[in-house]
Amino acid sequence: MRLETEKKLTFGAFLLIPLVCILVFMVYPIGKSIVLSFHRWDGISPETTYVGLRNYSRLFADVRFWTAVSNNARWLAFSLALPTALGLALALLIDQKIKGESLFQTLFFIPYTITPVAVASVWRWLYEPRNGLFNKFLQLIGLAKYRQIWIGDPSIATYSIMFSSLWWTTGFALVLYISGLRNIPQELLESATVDGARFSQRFRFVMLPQLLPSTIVVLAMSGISALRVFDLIYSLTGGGPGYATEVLATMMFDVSFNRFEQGMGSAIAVTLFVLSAVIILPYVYHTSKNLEDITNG
Amino acid sequence: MAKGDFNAVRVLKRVLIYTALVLAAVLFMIPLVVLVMTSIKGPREIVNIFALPETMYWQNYVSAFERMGRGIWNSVCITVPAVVISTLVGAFGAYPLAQFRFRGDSTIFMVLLAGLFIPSQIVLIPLFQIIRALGVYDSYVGMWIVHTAYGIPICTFYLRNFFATIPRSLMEAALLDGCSVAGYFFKILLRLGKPGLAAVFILQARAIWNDLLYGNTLTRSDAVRPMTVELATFVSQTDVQYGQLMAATVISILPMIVMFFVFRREFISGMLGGAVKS
Amino acid sequence: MKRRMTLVLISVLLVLLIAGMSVSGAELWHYWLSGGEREALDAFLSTAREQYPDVEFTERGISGASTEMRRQLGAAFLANDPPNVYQSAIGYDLKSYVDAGRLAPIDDVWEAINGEEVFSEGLKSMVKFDGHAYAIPLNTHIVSHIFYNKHIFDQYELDIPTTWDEFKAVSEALRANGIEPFAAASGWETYNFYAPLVSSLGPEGYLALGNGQVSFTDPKVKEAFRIYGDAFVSAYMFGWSGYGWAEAANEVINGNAAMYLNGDWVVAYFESAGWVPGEDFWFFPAPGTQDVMIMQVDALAAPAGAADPEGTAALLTVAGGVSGQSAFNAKKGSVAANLNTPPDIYNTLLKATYDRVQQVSAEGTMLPNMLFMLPPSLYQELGRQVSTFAMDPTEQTLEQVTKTLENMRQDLLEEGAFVNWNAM
Repeated sequence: MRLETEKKLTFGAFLLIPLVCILVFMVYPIGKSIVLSFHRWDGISPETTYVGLRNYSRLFADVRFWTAVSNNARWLAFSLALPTALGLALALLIDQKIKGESLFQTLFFIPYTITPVAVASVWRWLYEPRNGLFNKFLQLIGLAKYRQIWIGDPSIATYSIMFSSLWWTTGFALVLYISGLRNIPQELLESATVDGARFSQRFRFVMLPQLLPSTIVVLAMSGISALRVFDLIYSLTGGGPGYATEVLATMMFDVSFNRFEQGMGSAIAVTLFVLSAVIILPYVYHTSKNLEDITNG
Repeated sequence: MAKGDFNAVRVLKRVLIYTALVLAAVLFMIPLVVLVMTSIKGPREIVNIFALPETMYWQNYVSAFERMGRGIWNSVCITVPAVVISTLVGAFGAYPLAQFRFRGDSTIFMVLLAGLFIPSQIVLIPLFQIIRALGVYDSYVGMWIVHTAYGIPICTFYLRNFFATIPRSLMEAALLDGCSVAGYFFKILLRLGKPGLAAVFILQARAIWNDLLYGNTLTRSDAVRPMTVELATFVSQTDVQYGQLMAATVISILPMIVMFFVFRREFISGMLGGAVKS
Repeated sequence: MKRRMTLVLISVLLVLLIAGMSVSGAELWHYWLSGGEREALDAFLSTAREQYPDVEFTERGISGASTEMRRQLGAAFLANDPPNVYQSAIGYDLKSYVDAGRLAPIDDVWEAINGEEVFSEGLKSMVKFDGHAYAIPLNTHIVSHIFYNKHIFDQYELDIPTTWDEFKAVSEALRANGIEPFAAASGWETYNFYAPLVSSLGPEGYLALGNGQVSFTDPKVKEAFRIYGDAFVSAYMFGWSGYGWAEAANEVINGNAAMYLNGDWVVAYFESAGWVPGEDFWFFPAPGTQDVMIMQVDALAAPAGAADPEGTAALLTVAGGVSGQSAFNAKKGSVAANLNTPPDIYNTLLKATYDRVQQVSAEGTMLPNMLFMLPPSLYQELGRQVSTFAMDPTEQTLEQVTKTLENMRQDLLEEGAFVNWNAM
């Protein structure tokens, strides 16, 4: 009985700091944004004007909003699949007790540490239509007619930005997967090997379940970053040409600070917040419950 | 004979693994090479991005360092404590959520996670007001607090799942041995969770080191302003200095590489730590 | 004993004197961050420090230009802690701060520097509201000059085009010789659209459009889009929409493209790449802008409620005066806004620009960038729609683009969002 009390007190104390932080620094600002989303405000004036649901009704009637949503959906599909798969593949390769392991790890991680402004500049050069590496390469192998205007053609610009994002963010999945792999008890793997399990079997029945904690986090974080994606698009195309590469975050930024409509910007932010929560939270809840069942039988 | 076949397959496998890795490494390196190459080009050569540099124009590094010197120190002073505190606070939250079932535990978990979804550009003004009200505007302490608060969701989320893989029976056993509930966390859980903690350290360090948004809004003076704010000034609306920008970027990556090497060792020691479980 | 008394007295006096001088200070927020911009700012600040040795001038660079500036100021206003002076646009953006009650009139400074006399009429209407001055214009960048690679023009013996037909003939000649006629960059399409707009609507029509008095479905506006499509878009280089403004400038320097229309800040970029004006490149007014210039202006404005009004006044006085303008513009590569600034600070190219400013001010019209006249949402939308049209310059797109813009104009008219700048 005393143990139970001690547990309650200790755990309560442990949870207190994070909860207070969340309340002060997140719940309050989000509340403010929700209130602001029912107002018109130019970001400068001391007064705001109450407009009811007008920001939301205008937003949902705007073609631009739906372009942004559909681009976010594409980013979601991309982010869940490619950086995760590539990060896992590279982590598995590196984990094969190879020489120069630290070199490879560092190399794949470096892009993730580069500031977005620089990433955007370098990729703009790589994508440059005349001298850029991609088009030069196509020319070199005799496929000049397939040259593309990578970030300037509305039909492919989003995919081009995704590709540069793949290079930039794979390091994230890589780190989490390596840490996950290193946490698999050696005995488990060894006993599986002794039992004669092939790599594919070991992967499916030993590694993958053991990698579940990493996978949950990688997928959730990829999903969230797909919904919030901003920096690379903003620096590479600013959402253009036209509105071709627009996502909710770039739209929110443009509307709030270039068009002086912060009430509308807040409405976009709240929509984005709700969308993220609706898409990601159930997944997280479900998988986290699963995780416990696996660990604790 | 059978053994020979086995070896041939093994060798072939190794060759394939190395080929794949080297190929991936080369592809990953291309943008990095462009970045480094540009950082040693003078302004006259920059008009030809893919031409090899004719001379080493180290002036870029000198200028970048002059402009960012103080900012780098500020970034170190912001990042190191903020990473430690946010990881620790995240672990505080993760421990009960991973090891204890109580009423409302999933609600608390969800509330902590909801922080992940906040579009950071929009909360800046309320955040600015809070930070000023606390009297920590334009100070290291203010930056630690903000980075800790905004680091909690990811840290708690990751560590909670990581700690959940450590069987609860281990805690029960330790408690029976007379270990206190808090003691188990500090003495055993943090040690067992080394690979996870190292991963969170790396992710947080990267996020805080590269933060521009909070640094730009919550600091004002040269004595606090992080390096990223200076770095962003090489690209302006009507003028750009790509050479200096890339030199500054290379400088900003170096501490990350060092940090990565340091915590890589933690990964490996974590693997040994895993043996404690059995 | 007496000597000691004297010493004490002197020290007391000294302390009083220093306290009486009470060091005043002024903080300037700006986004002149890179290359020549930075040098111009430093030159300006050292002039200010020379003229007011007692005032401590500090600066804070804000990356992310006017967008980020607005956000930072918004936060600073909420905290009642704005800077003394900030780098501001003129016209609509400035007026929005005035309407919000965030700026203090600077009539004293305006009078001290004789603002009524030294600034052009066009500029005054964009910094003075209801008879009060709110900002000091610092410089004039020109966004209607086409820069061209002289080597290419010499090699193919091309004449400077003055009409759209001549311009198209030059472009065709260049194409025939395997040279891309015109460099362009994504996000800067509007800057190429102004010249067609002026040549179709005339200067008065251009201003009327900025005042919200002209429909976007007006045949003349549509004609402007057609001119833009015919003359510029068809001359754009391969893949132009995949370029940033500096990368597009590289194509001119490398001889791949012959002409470029961006702001005349590209001159600083050309020069940093080792190009010499008059030898390697020169400029001509875009067709249809012979007696017109379109200008982009940086100004300094003073928030209300900032500490230390003397420091603010000092900084603004230097900014409006000849020495401050000389120091700043010589480095910035722009023409001083103060008309009394002696032209000997300019290099050959700027001198030619200055001469044109003089001539156009006397005989033609100096027009503000649409950026300064339109409500910001319409200006931003104009940029996106011109970009959309440039990607596909067909009649069908033209209909859609002008309709979208006109719908927005109607909404804004209803809200009373337009400003009649002629009446300012």
